[in-house]
Amino acid sequence: MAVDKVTIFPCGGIGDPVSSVTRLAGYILDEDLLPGRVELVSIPPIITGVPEELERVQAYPVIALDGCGHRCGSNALNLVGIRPAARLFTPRVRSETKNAIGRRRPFPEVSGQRLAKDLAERAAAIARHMLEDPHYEFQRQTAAPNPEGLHDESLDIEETMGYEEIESGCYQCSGMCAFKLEKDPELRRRLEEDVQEYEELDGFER
Amino acid sequence: MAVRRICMHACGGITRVGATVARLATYVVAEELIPEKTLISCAPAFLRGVEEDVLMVVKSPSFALDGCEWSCGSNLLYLAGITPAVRFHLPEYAEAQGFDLSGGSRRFPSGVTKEFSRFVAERVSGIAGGMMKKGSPYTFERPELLKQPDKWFRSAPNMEGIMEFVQIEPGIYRPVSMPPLPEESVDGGR
Repeated sequence: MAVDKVTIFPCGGIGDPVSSVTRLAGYILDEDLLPGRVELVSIPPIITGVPEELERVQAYPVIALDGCGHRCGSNALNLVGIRPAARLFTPRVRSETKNAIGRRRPFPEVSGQRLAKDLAERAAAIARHMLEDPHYEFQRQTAAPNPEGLHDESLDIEETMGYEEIESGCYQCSGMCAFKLEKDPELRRRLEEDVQEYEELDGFER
Repeated sequence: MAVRRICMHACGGITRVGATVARLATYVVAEELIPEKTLISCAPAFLRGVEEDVLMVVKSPSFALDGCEWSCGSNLLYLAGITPAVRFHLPEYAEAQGFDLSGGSRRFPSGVTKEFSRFVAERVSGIAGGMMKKGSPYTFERPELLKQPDKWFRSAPNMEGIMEFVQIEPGIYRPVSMPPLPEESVDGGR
């Protein structure tokens, strides 16, 4: 049984430029690659309990986009007892694609925009498998406070989630249905031809 | 204690234009307007327990920028026992100042999203300047970090029933339990 939608959960940071990369990846998925098939959710609303965002992490499989070594996206899901259906770890993806994060925070430089596309391409391939494969199984999860790891970076979130790397930067969480990541030339073509890249922020109009 | 730095705490949302405004305004304050005296609070890192992100919100007064009525910026601090010094409710502030966010981009720093971000940043900078001005009577007491997971999942629009505010102007609020802003005194601070 495939799923109706997939939830995309970018790391949601703000201080490190990589957070702008994961955020942009989320928008590329939501607006360019899979409009209407994915939902974006950020971290604070699932802790405070914004009803519609809390519902999205319970009702649909979640793809977490961790931006840096702190792994805040995974940690936030653990704090509310939700297991991601898949996790992308940006540093690993970056080491493979060689697209640098960059230093600009309001909107990534071109290299960071390309890294966002790399993340979006992988997440879209995984999401499409979940959306289209009749054998993909997902059971609704129930969020509940799980303060283990709250304000405590000593928690080993990799071990807690039981992550297993399926392909470079793409992880399976223990207890969740296996997913496939099949490269799709059409996705890459759309990313290269339809998603514009911007060099400068000055005079930025869109 | 006197205030030497402020902490910007954007709501951290992704789905609404207001959240993007909160994020961009934070960068304008931290990178352009008062770069040496602004700390950027990262909500996910704060929850994770990254030391600097925990310390900054207990050592400096926070400006919570809430991108929508759910007020995740203010609420997330509240859940950790921290009360923001100032709260911006950006949709209300935008309307009061004549900015129409309905056509704004949440993805790109452009158009009204960009214009309003700068406007917000300048207002933040003005308030912060009053707090940090030499001889300012404004003081800040360090709060104690609390873990209150029993209070999670109880969001209420505009913190109703959770936190009481004094309205400084439409869209800008000070929690009643926090010290009056310098501009609330007779000669103002703007």
